[in-house]
Amino acid sequence: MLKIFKYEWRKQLFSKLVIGCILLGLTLLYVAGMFVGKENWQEIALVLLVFAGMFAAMYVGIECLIVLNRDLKTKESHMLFMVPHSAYEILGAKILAAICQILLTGVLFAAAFFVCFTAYIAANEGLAQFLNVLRQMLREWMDVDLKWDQILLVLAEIFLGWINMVAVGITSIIAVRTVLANNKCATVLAVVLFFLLNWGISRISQAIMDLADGWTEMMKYFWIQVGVLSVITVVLLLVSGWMAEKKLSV
Amino acid sequence: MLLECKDLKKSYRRKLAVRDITVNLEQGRMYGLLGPNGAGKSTWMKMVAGLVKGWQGTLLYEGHPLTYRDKAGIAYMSTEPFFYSYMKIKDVANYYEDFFDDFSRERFYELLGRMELDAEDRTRTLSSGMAAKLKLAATLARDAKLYLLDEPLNGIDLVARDRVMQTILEVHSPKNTIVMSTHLVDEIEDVIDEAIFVREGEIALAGSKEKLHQDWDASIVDLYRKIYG
Repeated sequence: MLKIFKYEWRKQLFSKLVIGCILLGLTLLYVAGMFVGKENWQEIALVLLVFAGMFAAMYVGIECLIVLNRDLKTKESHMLFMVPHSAYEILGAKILAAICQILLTGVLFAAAFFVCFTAYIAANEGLAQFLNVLRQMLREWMDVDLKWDQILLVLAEIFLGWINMVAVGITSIIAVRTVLANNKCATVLAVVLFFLLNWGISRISQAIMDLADGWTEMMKYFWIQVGVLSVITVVLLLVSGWMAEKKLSV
Repeated sequence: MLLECKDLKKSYRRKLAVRDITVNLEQGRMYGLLGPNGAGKSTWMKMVAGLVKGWQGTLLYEGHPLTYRDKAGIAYMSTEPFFYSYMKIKDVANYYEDFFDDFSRERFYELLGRMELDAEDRTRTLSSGMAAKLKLAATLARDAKLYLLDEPLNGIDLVARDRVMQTILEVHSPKNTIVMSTHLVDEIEDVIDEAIFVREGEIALAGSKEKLHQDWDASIVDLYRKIYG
């Protein structure tokens, strides 16, 4: 599976290079603005960084679905499915590549913001002051309000929500390509099915969550949500794998 | 028997691509899969290569039902270019080496030289003829048990065809089986051991070249004309 992952990773790498270049440019603009005293450069860089972050999160979040759809639409699908690996391994590698790509994008943005933040602190209040602020922030986070288990659970839920969306997308694409093969409307129908499946899944998970509505304990509520999302995701991926293994022609 | 196909059927929605194919492939033989466009040759090849699913019938490879693991011994070459567009020719070698234990990098580079291809070229920039040669080089650089070559002479100029046929003959041995689909019957008549004529998703006629000559007192080209004319 790791060998398939290697090529799936490579397929999606170009967009990360573009994002990396944009981030580098904006970070340099910010730092340069600070050192030459051009505040508007800094403002522009920060606004663009935020917009770039939003766009990149959206694009990278669904990029693996775009790639899967392209694979199945073109003869490049032969490259993917002629190898002696099961469809489950192929889909697993695609999902692993998607996770790593989104992590890479996150790291790139975190690095860009960190550089801007560090530069700002270093230029305005000095490194010692920055370290003090950092220490103070950490102390406040650890001592007050924020509980790490809750933060982790919320992050896990966001992550699972995204994986669930990817699983819905994969199921939609494979289902439509299985039935319609290379029909011109296949992509549009896959998008329609994606929204329908998402709607259906949200109804199901809401119905399950309603049962837990009376529970006042927030942690328990989150755990159930995480559990429901996990089960639905696993079921969707197994169904996709089965369709690809038994029914999908490329 | 290397491959046994019995009552194979495959339809795409309402269209029947393979109506009923029953055929066995023996080790060490070279087969010509003959028929006009749309006869079902490519679909049958893709079924054996594990790319077309949802078919009915029996498909046994070395005596067991065909699984994805058997792709390790089956070298399939489709009629259309299929390499990832970001790849250079040398990346194709890496890909095949990663997935197929029977792939020989040395053989691949030797074939590239023979086909006058440059390993640094990007696959998306290749002309149709060069892409066809690259497909062949990658496929024939494997030491597979079964080669499925879908229209191997498509897009290849007259002069290079001899070289391609020569390369295919070099690969052929008593240890492997080669199936070539084509409608350029005269190009392969001399090299095949067996002919399989496919018409509208069914086997119209099949047998060894000698037996067909004896029984019908006609060459493979003449039989082709008789069947499809």
